[in-house]
Order: sequence, then structure tokens, then C-alpha cells
Amino acid sequence: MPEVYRAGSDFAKASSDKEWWKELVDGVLEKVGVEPGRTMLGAFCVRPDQKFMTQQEDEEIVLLLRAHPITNLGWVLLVILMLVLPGLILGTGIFAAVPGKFILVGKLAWYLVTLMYAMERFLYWYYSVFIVTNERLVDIDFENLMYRIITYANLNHIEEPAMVTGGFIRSMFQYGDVFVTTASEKPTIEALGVPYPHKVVDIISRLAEELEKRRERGE
Amino acid sequence: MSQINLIDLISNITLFGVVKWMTVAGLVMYTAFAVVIVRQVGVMTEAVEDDVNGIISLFAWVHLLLAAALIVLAVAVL
Repeated sequence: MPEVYRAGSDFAKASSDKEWWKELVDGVLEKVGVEPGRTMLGAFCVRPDQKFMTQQEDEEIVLLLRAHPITNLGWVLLVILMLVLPGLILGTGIFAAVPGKFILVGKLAWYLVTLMYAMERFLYWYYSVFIVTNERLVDIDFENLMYRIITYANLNHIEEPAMVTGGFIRSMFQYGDVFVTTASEKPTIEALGVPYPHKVVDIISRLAEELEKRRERGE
Repeated sequence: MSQINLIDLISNITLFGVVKWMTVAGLVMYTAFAVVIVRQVGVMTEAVEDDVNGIISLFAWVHLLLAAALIVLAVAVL
């Protein structure tokens, strides 16, 4: 009987801890003026229902950020050019002496390479994410094939975050770079080209501040 | 006798024959690269759980199959 009572008590404590976090995050998001949801083609997700590797049980994602979709414009245009290029080159007639079967295999190989290039660029964009949780910052970067860099910074150990934005395109589409200085070996965690950098900085600052207040109160 | 065979062999080599086997060799290397992409997608999808992970994995496998099919096509057609 006492065992059951203790288990019930632990559950109640865990639930109240979760409620406390939920209230804190809700309060911060309300002050900053953002609502839960997925905007900018998944580049700015507030409280997404997603998980990431090494996520702890009591950890919740507050923000999941990717580079602004407009940063993909360059490679998208290049892919379109690569798709129309065979037609343009063959139209000039410089491969008129080459047998048709070689042209066919060459075209198919070219389109396959184009597909691979588009897929690679999309993967780098989609899976290079910057995550703000109720406990820490997580920066997952993919530099090249099979090379993954994951950086963590506890919200208790960060200095004041900063942002850099400017220029016509960045101002028009409201994106920029966020830098968070930490006291660890890697001094700065960065989120490059993310949407609404001012809101990101605001959310990180407020979360860190609330945590600091609670720590000072000994809670 | 073997000298005559070697001369026959060399005289039978055509420009398009060389191009064919160079193309096949290139496609084999490309297919190896497609295998790496399948592995890479596996590494990426385990980093972040997402609804599109399944679709992306499927895409990587389709790409690998297309690369393998292109080798078969090149050997058969060229």
C-alpha cells in the first residue's frame, strides 16, 4: 500500500514539473507574440510535435528552426537550369554525329545527377536544424556526406544571445543569423539564415532569464 | 597465333566501344555514391524525427534503383 502511494506521489510530482515547464514556455511565447505552429515551409516551428536524437524524457522542443526557404533559391534555379540544359544543347545540333542510344543514356545519367544534386541540397537544408528546448540549445549541422556536427548548450550556461541581419533580401524576407555565446569549449552556437531572428533571440533570452530567476529563488 | 588474336582484338576496338565501357564504369561509381546517399539519409533521419522521413528514405532507395537500372540499360543498349 505505501508503495502504491509513493508511486502515485512521484507521478504527481513529475506531472507538476511538466506543468511548470509548460506554463513557463507558454508565458514566454505569449510575451514574444508567437503561437504554436509550423510556418515558413517548416523553417520556423513553434512547439512542434517532433523528437530529435538525444532528447531527454522531460525535454520539450520550444523552437525548431531551419534556414529560411528563400536561401534555397540559388540551387533551385541551378536545378531548373540543369533540367533544361540537355534540350538547349541538343537543339544546337553539336551532338548530331553521336548515335541516339548514347544520347539517351547520357540524358538519363544527366537527369539522375540532377536529381541527386537536388536531393543532397534539400537534405542539407531540411536536416540542418537549430532547436531550442526548455533546457538547452541544440545545433545539428551536416557539413558533407556522413559528417554530422551536434552542439549543445545548456540554457543556464549561455551568455546574451545576439542576431545579425541586414541587406535588402534579408530585410525583405525577415531572416538573419543568431549567435549564442557560451562558456564551453565551443564558444558560440549559431543559427544561420533563420526566419524572425529577433523573435528567436527574444525567446532564448526570456527562457534563460526565467531559468536564472528560478535558480536564484532556489526552486 | 596469339599475336594475331591480339591484333584482331586491338583492331576491333572502336571509339564508341571505349565510350560505352567508360560510361558503364562511371555509372558503377555513381551507383556506389547512391549507396552512400542511402546511408546518409539514414543518418539524417535518425537525427530529427519527422513525418517526411519515410518519403525521403523511399526517394533515396528509388534513386539507388534508378542508378542500378541505368547500368543495365547502358550495358544492354550501348
